[in-house]
Amino acid sequence: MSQIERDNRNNNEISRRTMLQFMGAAGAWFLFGCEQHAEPRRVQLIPAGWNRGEERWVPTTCLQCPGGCGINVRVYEGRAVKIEGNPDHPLNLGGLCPKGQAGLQALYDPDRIPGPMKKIGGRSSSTWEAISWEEALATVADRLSQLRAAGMSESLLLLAGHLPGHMKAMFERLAQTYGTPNLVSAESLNNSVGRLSRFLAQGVSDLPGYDLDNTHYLMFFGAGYLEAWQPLGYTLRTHGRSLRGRPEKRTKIVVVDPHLGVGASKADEWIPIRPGTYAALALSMAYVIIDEDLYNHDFVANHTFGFDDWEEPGGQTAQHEGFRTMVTREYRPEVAEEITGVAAADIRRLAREYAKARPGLSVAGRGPELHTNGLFTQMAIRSLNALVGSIDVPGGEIVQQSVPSRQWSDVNLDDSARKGLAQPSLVSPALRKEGWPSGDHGTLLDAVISGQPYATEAAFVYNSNPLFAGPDTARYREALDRIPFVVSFSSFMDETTARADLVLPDSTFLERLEDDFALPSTGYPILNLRQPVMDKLYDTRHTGDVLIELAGRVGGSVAGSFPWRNYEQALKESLAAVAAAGTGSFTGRSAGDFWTKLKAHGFWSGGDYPFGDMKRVLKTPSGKFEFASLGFKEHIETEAKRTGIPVDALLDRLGIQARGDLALMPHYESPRFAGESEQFPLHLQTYKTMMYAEGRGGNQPWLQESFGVMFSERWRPWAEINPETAEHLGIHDLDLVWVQSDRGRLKLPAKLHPGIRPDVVNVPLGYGHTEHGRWAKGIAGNPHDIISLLVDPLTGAQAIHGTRVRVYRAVAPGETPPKLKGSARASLGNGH
Amino acid sequence: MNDTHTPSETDSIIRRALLPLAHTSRRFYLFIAALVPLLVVWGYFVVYQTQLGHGIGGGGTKGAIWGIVVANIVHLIGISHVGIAISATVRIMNLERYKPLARIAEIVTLVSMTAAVMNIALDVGRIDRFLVNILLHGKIHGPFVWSCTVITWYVIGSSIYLYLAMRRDLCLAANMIPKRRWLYRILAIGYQDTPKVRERHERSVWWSAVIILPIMVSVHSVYGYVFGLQAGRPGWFNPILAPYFVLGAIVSGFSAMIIIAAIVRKTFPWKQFLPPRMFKGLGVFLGFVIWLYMYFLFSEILTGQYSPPEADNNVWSDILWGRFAILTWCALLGGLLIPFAALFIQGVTKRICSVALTVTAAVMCNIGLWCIRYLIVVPTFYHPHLPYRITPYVPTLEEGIVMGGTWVFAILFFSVLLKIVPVIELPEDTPIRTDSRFVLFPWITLPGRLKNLIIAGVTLFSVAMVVYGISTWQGDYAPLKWLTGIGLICIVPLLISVLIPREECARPPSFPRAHARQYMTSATPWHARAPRMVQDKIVASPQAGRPPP
Amino acid sequence: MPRWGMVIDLDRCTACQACTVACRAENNIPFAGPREAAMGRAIFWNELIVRLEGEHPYPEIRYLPRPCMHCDNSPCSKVCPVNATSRDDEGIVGQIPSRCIGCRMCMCTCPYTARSFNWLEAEWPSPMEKQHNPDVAVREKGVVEKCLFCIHRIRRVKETAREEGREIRDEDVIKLTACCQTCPAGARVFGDLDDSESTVSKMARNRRAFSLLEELGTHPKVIYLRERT
Repeated sequence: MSQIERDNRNNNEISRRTMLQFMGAAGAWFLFGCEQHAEPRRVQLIPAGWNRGEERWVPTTCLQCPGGCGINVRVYEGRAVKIEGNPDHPLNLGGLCPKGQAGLQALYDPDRIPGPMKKIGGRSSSTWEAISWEEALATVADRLSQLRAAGMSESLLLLAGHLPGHMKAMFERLAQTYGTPNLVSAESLNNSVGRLSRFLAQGVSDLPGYDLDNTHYLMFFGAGYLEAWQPLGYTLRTHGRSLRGRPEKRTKIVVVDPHLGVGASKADEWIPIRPGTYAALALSMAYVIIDEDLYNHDFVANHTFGFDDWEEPGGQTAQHEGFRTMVTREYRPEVAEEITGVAAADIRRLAREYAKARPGLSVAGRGPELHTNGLFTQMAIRSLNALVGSIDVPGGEIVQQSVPSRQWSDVNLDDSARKGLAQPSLVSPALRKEGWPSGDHGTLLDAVISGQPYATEAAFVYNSNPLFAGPDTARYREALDRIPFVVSFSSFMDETTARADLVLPDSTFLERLEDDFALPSTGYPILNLRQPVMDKLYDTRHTGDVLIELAGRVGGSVAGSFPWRNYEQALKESLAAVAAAGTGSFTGRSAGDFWTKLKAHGFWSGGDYPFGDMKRVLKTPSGKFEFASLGFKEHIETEAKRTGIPVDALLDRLGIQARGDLALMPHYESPRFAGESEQFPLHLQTYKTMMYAEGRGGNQPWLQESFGVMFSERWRPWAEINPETAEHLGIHDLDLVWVQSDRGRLKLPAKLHPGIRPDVVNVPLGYGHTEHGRWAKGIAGNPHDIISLLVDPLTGAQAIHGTRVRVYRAVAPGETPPKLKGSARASLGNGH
Repeated sequence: MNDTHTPSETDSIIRRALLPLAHTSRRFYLFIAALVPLLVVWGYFVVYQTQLGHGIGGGGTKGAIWGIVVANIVHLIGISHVGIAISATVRIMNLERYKPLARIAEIVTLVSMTAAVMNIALDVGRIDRFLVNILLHGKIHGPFVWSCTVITWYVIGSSIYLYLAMRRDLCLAANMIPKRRWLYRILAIGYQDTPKVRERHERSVWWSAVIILPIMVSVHSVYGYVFGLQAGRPGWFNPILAPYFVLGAIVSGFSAMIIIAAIVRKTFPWKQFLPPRMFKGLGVFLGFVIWLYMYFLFSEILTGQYSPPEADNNVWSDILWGRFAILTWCALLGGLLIPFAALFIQGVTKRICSVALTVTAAVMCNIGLWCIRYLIVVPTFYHPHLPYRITPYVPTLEEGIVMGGTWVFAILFFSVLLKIVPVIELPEDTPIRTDSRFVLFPWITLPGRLKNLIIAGVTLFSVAMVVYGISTWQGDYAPLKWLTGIGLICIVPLLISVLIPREECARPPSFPRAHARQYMTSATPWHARAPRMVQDKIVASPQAGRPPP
Repeated sequence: MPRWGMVIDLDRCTACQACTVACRAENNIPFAGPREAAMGRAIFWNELIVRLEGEHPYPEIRYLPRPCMHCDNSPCSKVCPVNATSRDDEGIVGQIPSRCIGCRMCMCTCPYTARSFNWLEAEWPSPMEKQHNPDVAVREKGVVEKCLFCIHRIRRVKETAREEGREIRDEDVIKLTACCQTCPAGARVFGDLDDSESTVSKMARNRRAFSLLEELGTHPKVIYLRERT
């Protein structure tokens, strides 16, 4: 009954009906019981729907992860009570992952930010003052105008996480018209290596899509399959309904990873491999495939470049070494066995299986790109797809089509904007080129902290929480504190927001109106609509509207480039083009009609994916899949000319060990690690569990309470250790241990796990929040705190898995680490 | 006891027997004062756990479904066994030597039963619904309902039994202790100290002893079934559990009895009533049942270890060699084997007859039995059939306090009863004359026909109620019906012995009020001023009336 | 009279725990919080059980989503003293929290440990109580609760069928329960086991089919399909 009273207190307008309906429910339950027991006299069931209130289902889109699954939200008496998958949505077909199910707890989080707030008393203070939107917007607008007037527009940093749909365009537009080159988004930071490798091989730099519905062999390198390999809804759905659901052909799934996670445990085979040596394995598989002549001759002949030895297209007679020659020379399985620790026999077997079961897919997960040799590793893994011709064929790797939405009218830039845009970006990596990723965390942090080439005066943080989720949180905090004016648009008081000066809270994804594009998966475009399912709980505003408002206040050409009343209007204008295209799941007679239908369906998806359109998927200089990247070659050479550094020296500066033609081709480079193996014998690896939800899961109790599925761990992180290692170190299951790197140490319960290599320690991401609401707070253990900064000069990417650690029992706080036993060192130090 | 008593002996016997009623030392008040605060703490936690959440049940798989409180319930039920066991055997086999023990034992029964029921009530999640729903919706197929039924039966039956056996002494107390006369004359209401009445009492008491013994057995068997019928619990599903629990009850009951008897013996000048040979006798019997118990235990362990289903094997290995090993072996050796050895040696050697030894053995045995109960209840929750993540069972503070508090309550209850009830049953053959006029309404009589009619009616009605309740078990209030029946059945012996047929004795002469008041209030011993009762049917021995020199 | 049952294909299952969370969302199941969860007091009507065995490098991990088995021969309904739990004629083992006295006998006797106890008063800090499902009562402390096969959804389907004057079809119920509806891998199917043409009975006839702890003779109505054909 207390439940009902609470309801009365909270929403008076529906209290009576709520009470009725709760009593109804209770009564129904009770009567259901009586019906059974009061034999023979039966109690009548409650007549149909007498206790039902006003109820409707709203189709919208999930944002618990960037995947973009379609959901239907059950709204009862004006409150969202349940989220279900949208049965029509091509990504998830009505299924929904636990994160999506827990979405309501993001909406109803008691610690949400109720309205715009202003920090009182300096950065590190935690006292806030609630202010009006008017005041908040005025403050920001003034600051922006000042900077602009002072000709320092480039000193505005736009730090964004996932930018749903046209929010990307909005931010880009703001950056351009305002005049700052510093729009840094998750898209440009995360997976940058993967994108680059794809760009070098195929000339397209967006994330690959995989046609899992038709593939017959899935070779997965690196962690995360079934846990955090986006888009999750699609992965889970295809795993169940295609890879495992097809009666005629059961796809074989092989997971290559030092650690056996949920994905690996659900796969048919787990290949424990030495950290950072994926490339050697992939290439020696290529060796077998080539050696035994199992590769797809047709595809290799017509659509690849650099497989055989080749000449300069310029006509010089210089003979260049091809992929075949290189691989046959360097990567015999026996050699690879030495490097990877995978038996040569296994490599041969896998290669044969993979090449014969067509279409097969080799996929680089999160693991490979988190080492210093990430780029070439990814190239190597990708080359396996080319060998068997799994490029843009059913069951192969595909290139996602983009939604045919119209670009808004061009922006008109004034002088200060041009001046600002001319400045170098804070995230420019060593090499910069159109189509190349715009750099990475490391470079950004260096620039902001050093204040070179210029100081950062203001920062917007949207949909991103680098102080928790970003690698090397300590330096992120340092960098953020260097910035005098930080504005956050977060709905929750997360770590970054807590150190901001001003919060302009956005609504949660169930209260917003915005569009979103599904992440690469199905191939054909999917336009998702996100619409408010209920009235806003608090005084929040959509960031799109806020940006438009700000632009208006800044005035001048900036205001001129944002002519819309609100974000909705801007959306309609752009999406009219989709209606005009007249294809896809539904078409609209007019833009308005299309919009209504979109609201009714919750999404729009394009027609079938056109397989085999090589023009579209291979945009390299040679127009083919390049085993040897001409783009890279040409790029290096131009750079060498520009800087006057000889090529080899340049390669050296870029941290590339290979020379000559080898540097153009996928090859194995021994990864660098932070901390020498004598003192730190173990590799620290992190992984994202299902409930990690990209760092959003912390304030959602249901996710916390089901966090560690493999060990039934709830509400706390752990450190996975191989039993044999643990024996050497005298550690028992669930002992408290220190995981120490050269950056610091972390106290965690040890979990003995037979599914992990003896030289690896595995810590899940998701804990160690210092803010983010009552439930996230105060549970220690964020591995990012002890991960040392190891940047790959070529891409600027951080080698998150490149940290070595030691593990010892935490007997007393601050006790000195015990000396490692010789035998232990011998057995553990055998890594590199 | 020797067969003939001089009045002075009789007098001194009686005085000693009734001492705790007549005089209360300061020590007693201090004792109570020490206990009460503990009881208050207990009461607070009772409120706390019923109001603010169910503190009972520590950590464990699904929060340690059952914990130490249940173990305690089983233990208390076990102790409760002793009362009837002893006094009934004493009556049925007419063991004069142990007679003084009988009533103490019955009181122990009453106390530990109350405590056990209290623990049950505190262990269930909804103490507020507990009784109502059992009476309202109780279904005959639930072992829990069985236990409620037999416990009720046992409690009512044995308390009536206790009362019947006590009436004469109450009447005596009314004579002997003027300042408590108001109480005992009410308690002994309608008692006439005539041979017929006495004889009838003895008969009905004897019969109810005969009836109650099987009930006692059923109580402990039912507790065996509560565990033994659960196929889903490895280590519990076991037909031996019922007899095993009965034996366990006997063991813990007798050991408890020995301890309590020793304490009482120390506290009051009762060495004469509770001589060492009595302890030796009890000890011998205890040793015997321990031996039987070990036999049962052995066969159970053998079954659990020889080639059992995996789940059971896990449980038993865990108990014997796993995380419970230390506790187990301490309980087995210290709680069973060593006491048995000690008692055996004492039993077989004529020379040894030591109260201290017997009591020590009893204490060890009792504690050991509690541990064994713990080992019956808890370990199975570490080994569910499915591979759940196990969190070890840690008793919560609430559990501890509820349990300890119950013990405090029991002790308090017992010691208060000691001060109210004449605990030492006086030997039959002490030729004392009790004056029925000090009893309330001693002259209540009714026509013999009517009495028979009433008894027949009550019996029939109660049986009918039981049948009615059981036959309509699916409907509501079924348990209420059969429990009413059972309650009434228990009353029958009471009626038989309390109702006095008019034919039996002539109505005593009317008695002037003033006199009465004088007697009620006079503090001087009865035989100094008591008037002779000419019409009274008591045939007193010639010396009886003379005051002591 | 249908006989409701469920089939779970362990080969399709991705161990994502969507069923677990969906169940909690649908049935207003409170969360326990760190302290209580550490005491093993978290309530799951549908729990994912894991068996982790084997030595490196050949570990064996098996996942088992475990709703209530709704046994045809259910031990729990036998031992309940007040009939707070009993099996109805459609085979669903029901639970009436408002009648339960919390003796936890049924929890002890359930071989699958499928029952949970409300050790403490559930906490729903405002505005979280807004997410409560109106069709399901919230439970008070001190009572036992368990999976009910989303009985309220079954009743709703019956009502709609009655209003449309037709029998319940297989496609009405195949994704009826919250767990079946959300399962992204389509590993769980609900339906009438007595109807030999229903999807569940077809799957239940599969060679891979087995049920948990068959040796105990509880005759579960939740049937699993073995992993790895």
